[in-house]
Amino acid sequence: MADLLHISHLDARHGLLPAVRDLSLTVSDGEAVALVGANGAGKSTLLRTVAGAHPAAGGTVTFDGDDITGLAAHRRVTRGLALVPEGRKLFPDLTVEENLLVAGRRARPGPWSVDTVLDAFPLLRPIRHKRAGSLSGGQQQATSIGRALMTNPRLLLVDEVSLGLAPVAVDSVYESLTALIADGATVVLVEQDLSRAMSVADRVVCMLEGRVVLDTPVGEVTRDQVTDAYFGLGRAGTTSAPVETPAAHPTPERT
Amino acid sequence: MTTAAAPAPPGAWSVQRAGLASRIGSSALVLVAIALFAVPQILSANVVQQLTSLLVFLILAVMWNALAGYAGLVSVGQQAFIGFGAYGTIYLTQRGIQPYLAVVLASLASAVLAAVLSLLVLRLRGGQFAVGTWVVAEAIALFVMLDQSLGGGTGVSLQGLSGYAPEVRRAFTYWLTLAFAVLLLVLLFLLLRHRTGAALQAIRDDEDAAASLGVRVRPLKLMLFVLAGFGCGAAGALTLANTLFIQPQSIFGVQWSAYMIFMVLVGGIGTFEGPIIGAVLFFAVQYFFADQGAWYLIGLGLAAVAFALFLPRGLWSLLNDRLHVQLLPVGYHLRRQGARPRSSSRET
Amino acid sequence: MSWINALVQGLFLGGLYALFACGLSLLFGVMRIINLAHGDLAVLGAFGVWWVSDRADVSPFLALLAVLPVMLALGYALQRTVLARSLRGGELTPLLTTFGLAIVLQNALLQIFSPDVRSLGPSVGSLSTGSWKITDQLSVPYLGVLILAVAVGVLGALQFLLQRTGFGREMRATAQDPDTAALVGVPAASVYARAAAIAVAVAALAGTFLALHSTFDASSGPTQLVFAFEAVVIGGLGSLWGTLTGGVVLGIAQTLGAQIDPQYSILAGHLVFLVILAGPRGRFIATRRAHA
Repeated sequence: MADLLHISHLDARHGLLPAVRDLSLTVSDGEAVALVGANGAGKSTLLRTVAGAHPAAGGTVTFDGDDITGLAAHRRVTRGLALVPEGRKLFPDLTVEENLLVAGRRARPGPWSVDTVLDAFPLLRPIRHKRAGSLSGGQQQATSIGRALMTNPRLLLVDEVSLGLAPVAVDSVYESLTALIADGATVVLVEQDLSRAMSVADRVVCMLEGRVVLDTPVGEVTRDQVTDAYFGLGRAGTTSAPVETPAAHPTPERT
Repeated sequence: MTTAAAPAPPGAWSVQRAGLASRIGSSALVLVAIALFAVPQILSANVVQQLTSLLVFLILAVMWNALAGYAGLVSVGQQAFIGFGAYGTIYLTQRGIQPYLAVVLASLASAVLAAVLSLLVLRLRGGQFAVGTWVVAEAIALFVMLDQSLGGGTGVSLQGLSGYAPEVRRAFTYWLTLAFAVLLLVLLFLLLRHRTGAALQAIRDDEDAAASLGVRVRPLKLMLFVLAGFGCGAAGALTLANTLFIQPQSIFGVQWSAYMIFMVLVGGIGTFEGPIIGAVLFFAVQYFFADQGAWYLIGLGLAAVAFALFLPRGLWSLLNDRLHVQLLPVGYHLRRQGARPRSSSRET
Repeated sequence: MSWINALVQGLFLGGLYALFACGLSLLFGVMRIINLAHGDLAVLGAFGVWWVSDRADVSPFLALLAVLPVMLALGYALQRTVLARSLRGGELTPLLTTFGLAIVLQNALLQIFSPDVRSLGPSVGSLSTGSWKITDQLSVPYLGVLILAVAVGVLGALQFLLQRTGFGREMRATAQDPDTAALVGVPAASVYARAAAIAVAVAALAGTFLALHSTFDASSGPTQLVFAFEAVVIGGLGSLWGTLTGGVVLGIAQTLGAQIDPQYSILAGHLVFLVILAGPRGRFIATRRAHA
């Protein structure tokens, strides 16, 4: 598989506070990566930096062989990078359909259109003319993912898939996500719910204090090992990437 | 003046109000103020009149900065109070009140007007406030022009000062202007040193965030708006006392706002010292270039745009950043014990 | 009967104010900027039309066709240079820069065109003076009808653009959340620049009709900005149609005021504005989001 996204020694900060530290990560075409970690581990900042919504303080982001570290967010979209932001961030005064159309206007050519998105998220069909601001959390998340799909991304970054959603809504969103992944979409998703994350992903990457502490295929790791890495408890077992011991960072900082 | 007294180990940080520079600076300002009171004894009446108009600019700059620099209220309508102060003085002298007393009373009346108008205009924010105050100024100007006893649209002279010899009159006007300038600077200084100073800067930086932290935004804005109404009213009344004749189109003219914006932007918005520098600079610019007419105003406008875009903290920030000097102890500074004093930049 | 006539004239005057207001409203809706140079840009447009029609000896309407593209380009360039930079400086910076720009424009026009008062009215002949006489005291001026029709047309076109076109959706999305708009591929800077281009061109259109309807000089801008702002606030900062209502209310207030005494004309408009501001509606103005 070809490397689609290559992150090399990336740093990102909030003011003076480092959120992502010297992080390197590679995502290949067709992979589904679950990005896990505690609150403040830097997951959202990492995704936002990759998408161009947050400036990189150091390192490079390479997408499909091109260095995109300094590229504006809207140009990354046209290259095939799409982020479903934390909190959904729909345009509240636009209808569901208008939210989709806005994203589709400058899209790369590809399979996604309003119709195919509505097919993938059938719950949106009856509410396509409702104001996005009036939707439930699950409907908003579906719209937000659909909106990102409208840009025909080659890599879909999904931040906090199930945060703040009712369980039934989570089921429905994951149903659609699973179908997407089964179709071969390349996805990086941030998820607080470990079991959920590991049920859809091929690979799990765990972040702690801005660094990758675990990076392994889902089949080669137990839930407990991920939990240990999650909280920085000792060295997780089999890992396929360089892992730093949390003990090297005695002063936990939260971002 | 200083709160750092407890012995601390070398290298420890302490919080200070006043560094050496600001102690020297504030002493110097007090000396300058005292020296300024002696000016009419020494210099010619013409110079005294010029200095009076410089002090009026100083008052205006300080008041506009109090609004925009500390409360985030960009007003394009302070000429409402300038005109009101001037015409209030006319109105009172027409009813037999001594002109200098009328100046003081009209300034106070401007403060009352500001309190009343605040009910309307403080509902607005940002650009809406800017144009809203402008509409208020236009409306007041039209009301004044309707009143024939105030000279209508043609203008009116200040009566009742003819009893004084010109030198005496100019000296009195000068002293009163200086007294107002000192009073307003002291009022603002006390306000900024008080706890409200930090709250005000918080409002300017982010009103919603300040409100969410429990800063009571409205009373503070009201206080500054009333203070600015008082100061601008005084500036208008004193302009009248200095020139003895006013016309509604010029005393209510929006060019006052242009002058104020220029002075504050060039000097340094949100700093205590900036408007003072701005006023002196503007006075000099006006003295040398005012006869250039339109070109002079084009230059002012371009300078305001350039400063807003490229040096938003004005000339004072250059001094402040390079030399770490602060003439007046209005902020708090972290200082390393035993280390060279470096004041942190306190303004954005 | 003369009161009814005043009402009718106010309606047409309101069309002019609505035309002035919609550019202001558009920029405020999309970028949250109150462009304090709006009136002066309108007057610049009027001078442009006057200059072209004077030099080329053509009708002002033909000259307008030449001036509008120039004003579009000017608005675009203005956003790309001055406004974009001032937007990054925080909420207050655009006010300061546009005010500075207003001073520069006014005085540059004064320097170039002298303080003479001009009008485009004479160059369109009977259009500016003629009217349909309904009764002895009630007449409907040709120009008034034209201005109102243009205002309704422009507002309708803007409404259509915002609601029904891809670019309009991009403008609304950027107005609501520019950062997220970038995440779905919308370049905020370019959307802003095109919105500014439209706003400046519409301002020039309004300035031209002001020049046809009455007189203008280098210092006419600020008054027109104030009227435009009043129309926007009276209309409730809501939809573009609200702006039309606001313009008409302002226009009628002025003509009715003038009916009492010509001196009360503009004052009456200011008072209506202040009453609206003081009323229950005023409380919402500061907090309410504008939908472009």
